[in-house]
Amino acid sequence: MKAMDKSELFLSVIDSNKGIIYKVANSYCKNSENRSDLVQEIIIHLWKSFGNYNEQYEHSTWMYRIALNVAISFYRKAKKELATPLTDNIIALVKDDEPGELEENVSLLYQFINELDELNKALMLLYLDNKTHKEMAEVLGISETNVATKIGRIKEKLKKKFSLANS
Amino acid sequence: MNELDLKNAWQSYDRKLDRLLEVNFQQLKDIQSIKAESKINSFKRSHVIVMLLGVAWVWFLGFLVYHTNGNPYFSLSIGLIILFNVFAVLLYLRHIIILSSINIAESITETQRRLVKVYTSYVQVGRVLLLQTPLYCTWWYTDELVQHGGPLFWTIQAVIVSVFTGLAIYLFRKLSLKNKSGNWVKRTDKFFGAEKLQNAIAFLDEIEEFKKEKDSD
Repeated sequence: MKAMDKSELFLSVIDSNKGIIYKVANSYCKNSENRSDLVQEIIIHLWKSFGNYNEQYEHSTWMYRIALNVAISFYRKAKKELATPLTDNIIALVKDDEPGELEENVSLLYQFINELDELNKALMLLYLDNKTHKEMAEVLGISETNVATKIGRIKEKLKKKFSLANS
Repeated sequence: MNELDLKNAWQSYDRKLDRLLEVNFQQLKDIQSIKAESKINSFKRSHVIVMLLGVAWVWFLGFLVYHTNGNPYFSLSIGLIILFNVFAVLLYLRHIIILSSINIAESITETQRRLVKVYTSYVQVGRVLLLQTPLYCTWWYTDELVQHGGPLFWTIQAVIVSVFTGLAIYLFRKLSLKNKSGNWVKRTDKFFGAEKLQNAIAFLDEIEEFKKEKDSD
């Protein structure tokens, strides 16, 4: 991969998968200031690992692995300062003119995600993004049957949560 | 709302994010061009620096012991300090090896397990190093002092060495994984970093638990 191609390809991979970074950062970091630091840290790691990207995986799976690993480590760190601070947000949400019912369900889902521990949070994000059990198992480093068991348990909890919210 | 509805809501949210999220390409290009350093690398770099300082310190102390013959108090105190520091240097070297082997694109449980192991070991090194503190109070004793120091001098020395020994043992025990409960204990735990260590150990247990296959909780 030539230097120029690599750089351009990286920008396009980030642009096409920006939602992953946003969702992971949003799920692991409540504080908006720290969240933009987390996004920056994730992107630094993605860029550093991009040269060794294994093409047998989809870009989204590769991004999930790195983003989740960084988010979990970042979340656990007491110190939040960065080695190379940048001033602006790299990924920012522009104002939506058409808020709707969607927000309510998604915010309920985020609320549910926030109640989970760090590892189950990762599982939940992968599950909602329609990853296969095999992909989830690879990202998390557990067996497929273990994924299936845990997903089953999470579904039960979700069902309870939403039936409570609707009643 | 069933499972399918939930997933559909999430997919719609995804599409919405695609439309509403803006990437600052200039910032992205800056990250590519500057030598941005990740936290793991900066942690590793600080380990390398501390390890090199440790090697220099051990070499310097060894040099002193070698060239200061005939004072058993000095040789014994500094000799023991050297052993503590050799232990720390070796563990730091081990941490550097583990940190170098971490690939952030690997599975989450494995990467996190290694990171937490390094962190807990890092705190344990500091904990063990605390035990060398009293030795810094005894290296300057000589035969002459021992024979002619007098009761007042030795009473003061005994108090100083006892205070440092007590403090070192207290902190050694405080930074253990077993200390819990009690408000003042929690406050001091927070101050000395034991709380973070306990959280890290709890997370390690969480990882092991997560990896286990169970039918029910």
